Amino acid sequence: MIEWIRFILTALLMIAGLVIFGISTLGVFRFKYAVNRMHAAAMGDTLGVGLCLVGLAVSAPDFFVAAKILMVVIFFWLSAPVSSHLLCRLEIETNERLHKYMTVHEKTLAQEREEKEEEA
Amino acid sequence: MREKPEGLLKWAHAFSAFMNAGDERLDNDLVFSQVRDADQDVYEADSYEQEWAEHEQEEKQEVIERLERWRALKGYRAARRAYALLCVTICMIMIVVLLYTVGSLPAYGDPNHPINNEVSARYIEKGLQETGAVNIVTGMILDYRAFDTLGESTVLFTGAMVVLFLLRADAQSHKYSALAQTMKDSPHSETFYEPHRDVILQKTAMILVPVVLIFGVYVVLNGHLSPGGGFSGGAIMGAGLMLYVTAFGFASIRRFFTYKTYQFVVLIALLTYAMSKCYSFYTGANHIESIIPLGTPGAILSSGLILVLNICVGFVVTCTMYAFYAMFRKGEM
Amino acid sequence: MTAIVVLMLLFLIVCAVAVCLTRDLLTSVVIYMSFSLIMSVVWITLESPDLAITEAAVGAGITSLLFFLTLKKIHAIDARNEVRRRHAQQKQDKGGASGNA
Repeated sequence: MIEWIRFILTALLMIAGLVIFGISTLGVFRFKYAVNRMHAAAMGDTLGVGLCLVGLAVSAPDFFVAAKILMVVIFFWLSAPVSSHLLCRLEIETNERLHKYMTVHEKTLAQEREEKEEEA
Repeated sequence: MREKPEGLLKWAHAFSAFMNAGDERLDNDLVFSQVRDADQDVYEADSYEQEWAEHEQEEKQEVIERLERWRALKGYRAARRAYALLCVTICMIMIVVLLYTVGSLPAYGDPNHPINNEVSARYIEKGLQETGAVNIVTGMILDYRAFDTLGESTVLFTGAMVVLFLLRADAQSHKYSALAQTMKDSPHSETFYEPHRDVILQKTAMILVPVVLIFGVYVVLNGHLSPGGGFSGGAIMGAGLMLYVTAFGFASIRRFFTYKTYQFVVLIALLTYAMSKCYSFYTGANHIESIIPLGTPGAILSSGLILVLNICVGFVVTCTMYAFYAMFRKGEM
Repeated sequence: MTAIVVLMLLFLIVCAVAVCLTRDLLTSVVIYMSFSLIMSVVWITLESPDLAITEAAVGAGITSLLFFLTLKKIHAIDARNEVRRRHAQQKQDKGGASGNA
């Protein structure tokens, strides 16, 4: 009985993860603007990988394997959002036509940084 | 009008068109269309690039002048002829030696050839007993064939040296210091758009860098027990150092890792590797029992010299990976 | 299992051909990266995890990082390049049109 519950749980989690991967791949190909694409890619890297790996952890034979898989999940949750944050920051700092795509505050990040450097 | 390709070439063209379909889509992309019709004058009047071109022209002129002066020297022709002769002779000798060696090798895929039966059977049957390494691959590459691995480490070291020669921007040299200063100060300098003092990246790196480094150490130290070893562990540790540099900048990594540290660590590691291999060659050739115990297979302190060799390779690979990254990105360490 | 391995090997062939046929250097580096990743999975199915780890760390990670840095050094990744290329093309198109007329 417990085996069946584990199997069903694993299958559901894996299928959900794969569906999210598919959606994120579609998003990367269909979106035109860099920040939208980055959002789609980051969703696959966090939610998709997270669901797939949690599914694997549920079906793991012993506790240590499951713990290792959960460590991998934590690693992904730390690294993928940070990398997409860096991409987004690069786009915001370098694109001079930013106000075409989003509401921009008067002070951009680069200006803030320059002011900080002048103060220091 | 381009001619229409035929046959197999047509398929290759169609595939290429499919792979480059993104280019056509970029044409309609807002980003480029807007960058295109603005900013033309800004980019055309780029004084930095003019300066760079002038500098390049000066350099070229200087090289040409030096060549002319050299060509006017007395023994130039004779020296050049001797050099060409020497080159051809050495090449011919190498070709003859290699051809002779290939001729005396057994035929490829010969079933009676020891490599195809005896050697691999011996590795599998007696590998654990003779090397003490549970991971048979590590036992092979760091014990039976450790000489090859020494060569690989040396190749990596030589590669790093060549990259240093080619890409290092020497701040001390009076010839390059003005240019290096211009590059550092200019708004188009290479590091201008790279993240510096990004709080999110720094906080994450504070968590991730120690974890990555410890994982690398684990992979290196468990090389004789589980998959992994010096090369993969070293690459992981090198990636950790790269993350550290990206987050905290070159100024803070220089507190513990400079060019001098790199030289010291790599030289000590290569020398230790060569010395320990010398020892095992000496004992093996003279049929002396090695005094280094093999230990119980499966324990962390087992398999004799393999652990030491793994650590040495790990150090070399870590330092070299980081050196490659620093050289390519900045031109100095 | 065999089907997956065959699929991966086909993907490797497609990647290897695509690296040669793409015009954009950045795209070919990314394709090379995916080649290395799939190759490391193939190594695992061939039961050599040592090679798989090295392939993933060196082939997919560090080599492509160095490729990216090189492309940046030779200014192949640069929005200005794109702008310049388009200007040159526009000029050429205009010149060709006037020449024909």
